[in-house]
Amino acid sequence: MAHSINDKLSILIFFLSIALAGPAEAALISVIVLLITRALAPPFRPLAQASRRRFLPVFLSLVLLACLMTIVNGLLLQEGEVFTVAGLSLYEGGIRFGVKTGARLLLIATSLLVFFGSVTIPHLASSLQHAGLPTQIVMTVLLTVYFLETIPERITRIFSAQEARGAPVRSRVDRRVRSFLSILAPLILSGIVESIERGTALTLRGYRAGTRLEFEGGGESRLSGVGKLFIVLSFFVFILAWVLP
Amino acid sequence: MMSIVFEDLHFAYPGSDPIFRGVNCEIHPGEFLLLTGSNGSGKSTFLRLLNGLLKPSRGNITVEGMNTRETATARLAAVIAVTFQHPSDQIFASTVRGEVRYGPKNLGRSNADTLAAQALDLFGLAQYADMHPYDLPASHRRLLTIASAVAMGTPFLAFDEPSVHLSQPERLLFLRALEALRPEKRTYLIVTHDVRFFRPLCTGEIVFQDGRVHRRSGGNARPA
Amino acid sequence: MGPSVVATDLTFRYFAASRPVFSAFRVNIPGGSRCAILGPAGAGKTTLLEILSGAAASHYKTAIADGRVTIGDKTHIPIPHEVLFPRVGLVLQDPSVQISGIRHTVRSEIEFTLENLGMGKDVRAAKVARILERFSLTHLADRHPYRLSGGEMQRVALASIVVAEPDLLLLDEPANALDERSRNELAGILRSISPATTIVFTDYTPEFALETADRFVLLDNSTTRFEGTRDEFLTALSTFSALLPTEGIV
Repeated sequence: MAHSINDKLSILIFFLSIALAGPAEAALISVIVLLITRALAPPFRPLAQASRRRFLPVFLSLVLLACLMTIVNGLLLQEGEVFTVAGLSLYEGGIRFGVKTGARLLLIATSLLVFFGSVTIPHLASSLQHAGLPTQIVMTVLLTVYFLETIPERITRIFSAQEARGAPVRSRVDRRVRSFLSILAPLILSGIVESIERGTALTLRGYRAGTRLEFEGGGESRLSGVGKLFIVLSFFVFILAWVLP
Repeated sequence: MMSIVFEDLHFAYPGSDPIFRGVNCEIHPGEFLLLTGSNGSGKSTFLRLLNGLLKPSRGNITVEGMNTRETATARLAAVIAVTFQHPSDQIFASTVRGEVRYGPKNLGRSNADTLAAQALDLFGLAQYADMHPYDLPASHRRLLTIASAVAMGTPFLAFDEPSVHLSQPERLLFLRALEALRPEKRTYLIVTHDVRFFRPLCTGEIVFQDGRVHRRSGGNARPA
Repeated sequence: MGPSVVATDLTFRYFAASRPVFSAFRVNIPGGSRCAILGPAGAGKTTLLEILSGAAASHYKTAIADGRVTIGDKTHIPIPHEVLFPRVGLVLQDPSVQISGIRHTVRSEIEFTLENLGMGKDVRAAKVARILERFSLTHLADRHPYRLSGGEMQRVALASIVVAEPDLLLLDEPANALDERSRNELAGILRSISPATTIVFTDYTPEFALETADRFVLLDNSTTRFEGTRDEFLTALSTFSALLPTEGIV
């Protein structure tokens, strides 16, 4: 089931449509379904060690963010009944709204995480190219994804270099914030310099805008029955959201 | 005691083969030591252990009485300045002067400006002080990272392959700067393949092989 | 025999307001030679390679040039204004930049070059297999190009250019980040390339050049301080100690 990238893409679209148009309950259930699918269905397991390791912390911080949003909304959006929790006056309307938005954002983020964790970059690129996107855009996507992939390693290196110069990267929050620039600036500067060099390097190897790229490991990209079903279901979600009050 | 002591140092990156398997040695004040060994013998890792960026898996490193296990890197930085191989990992200030002043200011040195000015002079960078570091040729950027370390005013200095990518005029500048720093009697640890270049200054050598110190020469304070 | 490279009265600056990198510069590299361009940082070595490859004019739109550059029987006035690949190939200083990052194996990274040139699948496969063999990369063919040692990555970057069989091969400081073993391997590869290709490489130390090159040019401050054969270079070397590290050689 759903081995091809376009099937995965259609499932992603389905979950995104629930997040955008479906009820908050469905969004929450979808998040759980996604987590189970990711754990049990081989095609949705993360490919890289790194994304396997990073998933849980990222997911938990998303949950935390959603909870925080709920509380902030409960405090500020003063609608409906008031109830007091740990000395805070929370409004029912605000909480409802917070839960709804939180659940939706959680679903969007989780489905993107699961999707990008389970596809390879060449595979994604070949699919984008099949879909008729211009090569220049596909190339830009590829180089961007490449850069994103290198960021954690770069940050570690920059972190070490600045810490070795006495930068307070691990001390009190206010001092840490001030040393933030010393991490961000090398990241951006070296990123810009490198992307210019990469552009030059590509043309030096005969790459021209418009050259059709080929991708190994492109694998299966046709839309199976399962994929089509999910596309139809996505439409269905939107239609339901339109028709139902 | 202004020394660095390694006792039964073991280290492995998680999930990898051990890099150090029982390193024992002592580095005395005023030494000018070359750290050598084949690629992958752990020379760069050694520098990261020295300033506490990495912690030993077993054994201890004591820098001026501070155990690196229990001391934050930002505190060890007041005693030992380390430069790494990629200048682009550290350069962030908008002027050459700002870059050199960053280290001593972090350490709260009251004479940060003087330290920075001296280091710029020493490395022939004073003429570029107001330029953006990225407007310097790459080899001068490397000198800039070395100058930034020297400006921190630490008793220990550790450089990772500092002479790589330096062409002859910068090499001569670098040697002259090290000569001029001699009276300050600081301690140098230099990871390098370029033994010939540092020969005139060095007082000893530590050769790593198979996770241990294969050979240690020098070992006493630098001769007068 | 590979093409000769002649620059006559070359003037080049990156911006109208900037200091000229070259002014009235001349150099003459005989066809089929393995020529080392030596000199300190900032002497203009990299710029010269960028000019010859066509990258200078094509990437720095603000650049201003004058003079004449002749590669083989083709004269470019004032300099090549588009990238001349595959006739001229330039291997950049940092191999990790030259490697595209969009391919997951060494084999397909090298093949990428040939795809850009529009070659068919079978021709590509044969050419890639041959170059992997020649550059001792066959055992690494299925590895990720970024999970290689510095020396191996340098060989992949070189292979990704040489696979297109350029007549003029330019290399920017190919040896300086390599340990001794990788340097020897690289020297062997460069020596194995036939005189049908002219090779020009830069360096700021003479050691690798003395093992590899048969023609020497010394640049200082954007002018040609020396041009000649290996023997002539060795004789003159002791007078260059302010520009090149000569300890242990002279």
